[in-house]
Amino acid sequence: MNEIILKITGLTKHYGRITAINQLDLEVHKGSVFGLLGPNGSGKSTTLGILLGVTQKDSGEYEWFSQKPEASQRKKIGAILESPTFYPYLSGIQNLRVVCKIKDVHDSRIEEVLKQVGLFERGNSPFKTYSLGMKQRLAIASALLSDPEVLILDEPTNGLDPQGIAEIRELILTIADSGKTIILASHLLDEVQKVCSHFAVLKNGKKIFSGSVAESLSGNDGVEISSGDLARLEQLAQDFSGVKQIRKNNLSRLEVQFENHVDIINFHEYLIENGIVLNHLAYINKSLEKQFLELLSA
Amino acid sequence: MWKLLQIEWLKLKNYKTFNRLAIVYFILLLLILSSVKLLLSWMQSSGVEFQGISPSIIPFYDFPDVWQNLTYLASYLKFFLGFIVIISVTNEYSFRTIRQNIIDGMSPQSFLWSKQFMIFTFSLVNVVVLFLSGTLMGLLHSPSFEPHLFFTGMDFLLAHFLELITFLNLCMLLSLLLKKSGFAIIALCFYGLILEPALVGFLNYKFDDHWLISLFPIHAVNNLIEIPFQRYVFMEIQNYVALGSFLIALGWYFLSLFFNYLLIAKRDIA
Repeated sequence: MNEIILKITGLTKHYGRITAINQLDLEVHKGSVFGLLGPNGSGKSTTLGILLGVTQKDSGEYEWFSQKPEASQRKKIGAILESPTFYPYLSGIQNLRVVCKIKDVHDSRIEEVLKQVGLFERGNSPFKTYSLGMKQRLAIASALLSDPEVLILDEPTNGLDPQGIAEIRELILTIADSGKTIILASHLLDEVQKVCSHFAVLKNGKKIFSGSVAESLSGNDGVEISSGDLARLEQLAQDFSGVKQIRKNNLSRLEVQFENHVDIINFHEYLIENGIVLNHLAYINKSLEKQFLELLSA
Repeated sequence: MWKLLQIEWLKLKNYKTFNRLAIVYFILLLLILSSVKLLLSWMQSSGVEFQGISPSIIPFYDFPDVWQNLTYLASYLKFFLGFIVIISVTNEYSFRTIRQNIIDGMSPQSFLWSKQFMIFTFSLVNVVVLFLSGTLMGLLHSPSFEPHLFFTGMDFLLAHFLELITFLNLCMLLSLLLKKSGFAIIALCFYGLILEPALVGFLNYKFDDHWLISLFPIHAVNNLIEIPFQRYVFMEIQNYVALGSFLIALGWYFLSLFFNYLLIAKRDIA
């Protein structure tokens, strides 16, 4: 991979006796969609707070665009954080005017971004009259104002309905396609699996894993099968050497996991030889969720 | 600097509470500044006399008296401006917009300066209003216009400016410490109107003008312009701005500015 957008070395932050972030190292490359995972309280938001200049670090370093951190760099970063924060008595447009002034962006961008997020008609209503979904969309509009190099999202789908979640996901993918870098903190693993190219897992402020999503999801987690005579199928599967685990799932199908050396073709032939014909056979894709839980329990 | 002022103006101009407070403030200010003559003639008609002097011949608006008289009266209204500053600063915390401003790319220093420019602007507008009404009232009431009398005592306008920026920075300090407008306003009123006067009174009573008194912050800003009215009953007054008081107030300005900087730049912005 190419240019490094963000580099963190040995970042540490204490709150009293609690260590929120412990010697964190990270690198985010240009054009990647980077997922920052971890359970609640694992230090994701604290890390982003430091990177965005609102939380003081205790030790360690970080660099944006290979330069020492300073306020003006944040003008090139768009941030969508958990709860959209704006002046409640100002309208959407008036709020964005404040952001334009801070980010040194011309006011003409306001109309463009409001149209982009579908909020143009309500631009003159006060922010406090917006629904949560509209507030979140205004936050997106605000983050897009300066056409940023990097987009940071912290639990962007919290409290949104399925439609809102789908819209955010769509937006992330659109922006990622334009070659921008995205950093996404979330505990919704499904979310990360669908949009991220790389990810790191935090636990108690420590990085316990980092790697590419594609690698982590390569291979499979066994197969899901069913047939007319499920009891006989289960019996045969249990007798087959190389089967690690059998489980009946909520769709009354069998989930079968094999030892590594087993070829699924041999298993299938074995079933046919014994007079069982399958009416369903599908690989079970590996999920980030499963790996995540394994990592955390380790 | 111009940009920071524009940002602050965008935040304030559509804020109803600000508009109302500002309107009430200026109405009260103009009323107080212009109505003294009316008050004095009313006193005369009800037969009040100051040691044999008729109230209506008191040269309240004459140059150069007008400067000290008006700035002294105006200083009573500074609490209104204090409330505006408190609300403007604590709002940034309760709406969490200070956090958003900084995330968007403002440096904590710029944030501090945007509030400073707001304070400067309030104070400057206030001084300009005082200058204009003083000039107008002086021209209307002085028996003749003499330039040297017109300019005498204008140091009170400068002192009033220092009084306001120092007082408003102390208000900002309270806001940064307490983060809630209600708490900060109560704390300001309690300290400024009850606690400090009580302490000062106690020290005065116990030690007869203790040197510590002049160092108290509210006393320091109030003390810049001393009460001028006893001069009309032939008592000695301090009809100038004392350098010592000026320096103490200036000291409080820089001290509160420094603490405001620390609280914005060195503390986690939750």
